[in-house]
Amino acid sequence: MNDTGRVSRAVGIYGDMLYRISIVLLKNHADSEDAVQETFIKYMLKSPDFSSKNHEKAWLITVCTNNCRDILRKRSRTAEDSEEILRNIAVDEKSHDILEALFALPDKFRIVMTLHYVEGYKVNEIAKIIGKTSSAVKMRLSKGRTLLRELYGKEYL
Amino acid sequence: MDKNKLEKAVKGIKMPEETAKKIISKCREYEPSAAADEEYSQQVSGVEMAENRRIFRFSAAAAALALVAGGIALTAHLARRPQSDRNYLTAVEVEPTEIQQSTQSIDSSAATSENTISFFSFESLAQEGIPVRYTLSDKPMPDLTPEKCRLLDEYFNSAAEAYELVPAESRSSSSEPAMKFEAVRNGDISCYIYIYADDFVYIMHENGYSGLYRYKGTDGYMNSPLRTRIETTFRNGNITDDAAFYPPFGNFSKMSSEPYQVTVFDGEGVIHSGEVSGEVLHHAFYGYNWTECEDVMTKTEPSEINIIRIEFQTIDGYETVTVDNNGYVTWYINSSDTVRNYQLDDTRAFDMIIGNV
Repeated sequence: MNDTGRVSRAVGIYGDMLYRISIVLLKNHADSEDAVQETFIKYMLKSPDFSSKNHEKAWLITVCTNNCRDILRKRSRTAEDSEEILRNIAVDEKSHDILEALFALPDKFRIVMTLHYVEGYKVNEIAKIIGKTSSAVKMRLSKGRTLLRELYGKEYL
Repeated sequence: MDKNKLEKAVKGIKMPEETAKKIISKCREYEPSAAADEEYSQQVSGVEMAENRRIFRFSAAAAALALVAGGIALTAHLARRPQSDRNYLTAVEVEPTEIQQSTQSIDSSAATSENTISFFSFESLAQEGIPVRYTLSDKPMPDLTPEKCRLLDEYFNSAAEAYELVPAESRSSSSEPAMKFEAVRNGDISCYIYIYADDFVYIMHENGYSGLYRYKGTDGYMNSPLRTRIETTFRNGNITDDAAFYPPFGNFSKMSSEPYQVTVFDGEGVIHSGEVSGEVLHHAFYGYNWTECEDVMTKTEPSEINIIRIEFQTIDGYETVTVDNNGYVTWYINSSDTVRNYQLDDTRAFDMIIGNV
């Protein structure tokens, strides 16, 4: 398979996942598109030999979250407000309230909440992906749950 | 409410099709072979421009030859260039190749992975101002500070891996927990970890999950490393970074305010008996790097050994520590019939106790 074919396959498998992680982190479609695009360019140019699908997936998430962090650091566009994001990503209306609550969390909580509750990563795996200690991840999950509970206004998680 | 609502909601976010197409198209531009061709053509153009100036001074034939030679040299140069030179991107912050091992067995069931003792974060609760209570044998201890909670979290995190806790249906004993760790939110216990003397663990998370676990290798009271270890950690009274230097059997100066009964043996029998304060004993044993070793008693001639025996009481009964004149320490955990052996670097402990008994 040539490089473009390899990327096409990866976009098909992981594109949605990386895009939703980027949206959750960046809250902006254009920035998310940049983050995902840069991730796949790096994938094509720099990716190591992956030993498994999980390795490949974790590599992509790590690169993508690093890209998101870079974008947040030198961001020129502003984050969209929740209504605008929800309109752009066209999700089911039933999900709007919980997503609005998630988007309202500070950055550092959104990523750990997403990786754990959405992507199913364990605490120690998230710690390695985002370069923090397990203890810090656990704290963020705990605090994130509390905040989400307050923002969502219902018993959750 | 539906516990997976967050997962469903976020997974409902899909990348627009045109974005996917755009990304693939952009990647095509950066495909190494395409990038190399583009660079090559740009550099050849540069050479051509440079050669144009020379044409004023040299014949057209010489210029053409130079162009061809330049082209050949460039082609060779491009062929020799390492792949990384063509990458316009800088290295990522976290090298993702390092995460290979940890992601081999990702459990897709987040609900399962969170319901273990490793998932508690007493530290964040303490930082929120929620009291985290520690009760040992029904005796309440002072609330744990955030720093102590952090160490407690770390302990449970490592214990979950080290002790292979597995779900259990029930306990045969009805005894009360040997130790309790509870967080009290608005007057109610919102989550807890209860550890029983036989190493069964009962947990309740803030998410409402509760469950009973047991140490995989447990055999009733015969083998209870989880409880013993945490009990030791707490008995030391100081969950600090230098905990490794505390003797594993605890801090004698905090275990009892009464002096300890100490007996001195030589190869033939008891030669002396007396009392020694907890402070002296703690000072004698503190500061070593306490790592367990094999039983080395048999390697020494009995006649060459002098032994000091110290007895003390724990929540489950009497325990004994012996230290000999070779720096060899044995801890007899009578209640669980376990013996642990340690080899100290010097005979300071023996000498200090002999000098004070």
